[in-house]
Amino acid sequence: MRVDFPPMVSCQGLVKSFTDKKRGDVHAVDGVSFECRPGEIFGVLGVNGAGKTTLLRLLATIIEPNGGTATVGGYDIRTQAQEVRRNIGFLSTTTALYGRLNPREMIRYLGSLYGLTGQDLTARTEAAIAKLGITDFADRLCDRLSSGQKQRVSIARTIVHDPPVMFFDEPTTGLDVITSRTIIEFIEECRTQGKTVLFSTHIMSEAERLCDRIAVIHDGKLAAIGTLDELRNQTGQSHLERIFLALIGELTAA
Amino acid sequence: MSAIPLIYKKELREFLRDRRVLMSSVLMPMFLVYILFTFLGSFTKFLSQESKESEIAVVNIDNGQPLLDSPFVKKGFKIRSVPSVDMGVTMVREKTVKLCVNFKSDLKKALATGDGGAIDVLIDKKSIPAAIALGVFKEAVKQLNAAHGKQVLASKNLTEKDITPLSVNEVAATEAKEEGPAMLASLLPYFMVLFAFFGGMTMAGDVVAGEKERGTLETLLVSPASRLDIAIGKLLSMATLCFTSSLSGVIGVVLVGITGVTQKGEMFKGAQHLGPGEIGVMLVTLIPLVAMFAAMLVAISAFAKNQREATTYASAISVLVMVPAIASQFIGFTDFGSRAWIGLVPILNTATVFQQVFNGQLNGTVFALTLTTSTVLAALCLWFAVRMFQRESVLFRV
Repeated sequence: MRVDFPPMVSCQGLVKSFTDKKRGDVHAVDGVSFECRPGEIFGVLGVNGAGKTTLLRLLATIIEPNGGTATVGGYDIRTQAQEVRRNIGFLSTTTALYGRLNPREMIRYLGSLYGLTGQDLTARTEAAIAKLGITDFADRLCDRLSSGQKQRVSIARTIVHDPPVMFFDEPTTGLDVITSRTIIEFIEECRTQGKTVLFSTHIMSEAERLCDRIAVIHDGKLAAIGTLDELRNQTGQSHLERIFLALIGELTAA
Repeated sequence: MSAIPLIYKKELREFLRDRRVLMSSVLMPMFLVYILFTFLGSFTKFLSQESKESEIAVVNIDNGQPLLDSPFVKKGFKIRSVPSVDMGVTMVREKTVKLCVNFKSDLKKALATGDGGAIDVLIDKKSIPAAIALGVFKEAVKQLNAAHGKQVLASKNLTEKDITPLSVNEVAATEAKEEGPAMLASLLPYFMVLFAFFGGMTMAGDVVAGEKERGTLETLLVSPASRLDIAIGKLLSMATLCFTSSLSGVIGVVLVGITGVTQKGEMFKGAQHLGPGEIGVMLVTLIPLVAMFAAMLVAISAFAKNQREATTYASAISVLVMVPAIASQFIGFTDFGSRAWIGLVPILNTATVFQQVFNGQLNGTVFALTLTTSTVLAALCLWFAVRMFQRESVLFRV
């Protein structure tokens, strides 16, 4: 883990609440604070509904916080949202492709939205196509691609503008082993390239394999944060699954 | 650089690759109008021929010679002599003839003596073609009476004026003008307005709600494109679709004119005054209407949780669109079209302006009020649609 760089993602006391018809007032993210640095994979671990997606959406400026502050790439998520968005890549569970565009058009479209133009746009698009092995089906409509091919296109569109910060929101949920491996390897590659990676998951094995540090989030609150060893010491458990359950149990008991 | 042109271009590309759009929004209005107008043209011709070539059964044919020899009857009817009234009635029932005419007395004698010239006409009262044939027959009798009257008056050194001293003169109070193309003025405005809405409705579910379902909206929101840019890009593409769909109906009419469909002369009679100015007025009137429809559809799509919900809402709204559009059909039978308040009723006002343009009777006040009303409503719908894009609770309502 590199600790000599300033944090690329930093949040202090981030809060997001909303009113739900069935559940009343919900604190989806409740006073969350952490930092992560370049070359680090920072895992956000939690059960479904714990607040992981809301946290990532806040940092990606898709939704606005009710309290607290955060910066991404040195830009404030409240006042410099557009700059924040320029510096991030966001990959979620869904492949989020336009079925009636082909991969080349899809990647070009996203690249142009990130301000790429002319030869630069063409070069970056073709580089992403080559890197992800999309060349053979680059001109086929996305609707006609297999799940694995779609996932590769989805990765390509997140990296076309070469963002320094990557957000992965449960990217392997529902995918087969081979497609999952493509994504896992891509996340590892991001770390090698010195990117800052925020990786939300509820799959313990992936978190154990990938994450330099892990934040356990439960009911919107940060239950614990640290390296795997630090969490082991804190809970006295050896496997992440048991660590996780212990942390949630502690929190629930408290 | 604004993301609006990028989003607009991408939306159009997707629209063009969607068969539903090509079929429902682009081709269907054109072909529907083409087929309908072709059918109406052929039907008009059929009716006209039907009345011209009516066959009638005649009993006691010798008694009716003065009438049957008149040019009016010779031109309008084919005569079939039958031996009895019963046979004539059977033929009327079997619809092999339109009427059965029984000359009970000799018309020559009746004309000479001025007495006993009653003619029985047996008719199927439920039949419209028979009613038309009866009208033509009565006109023939009237003309024969008139010709006979003239002879009688002449024999007594009198003229028509001596027996009809009073007369009514019609004086045109307005500039004499050829009548407008009735069929076009009645139907086309109605179609143009409806197609503008229904053309866009095809993609109402897809444009935002569909993106929510597929997860692509999140991809778009996480890009540097502002929400305003996204909303306007989608609105413009939707407006283009509405506009294209409306114009597609007009192209259908142009095709009717080009391809030489029967009765097209009758259909386009009175449409010669339609020049660039008139077309310009119609386009200017159409633009705020399609902007309003596009904004309504995008707002509905943004509000809906999914495509199905968006389509349900859009279907409900379509009823509100159809009512004033249908009302425009009846405006032509009244003098409401020239009243200022028409310009304040959305949708109806646009259809009315189109009708006035077709008839060459554009009312300046109605036109100005229509433009103002449509523009204000379009701006309101636009504001509402953009607001939908600013609200997290709406955009993430899944």
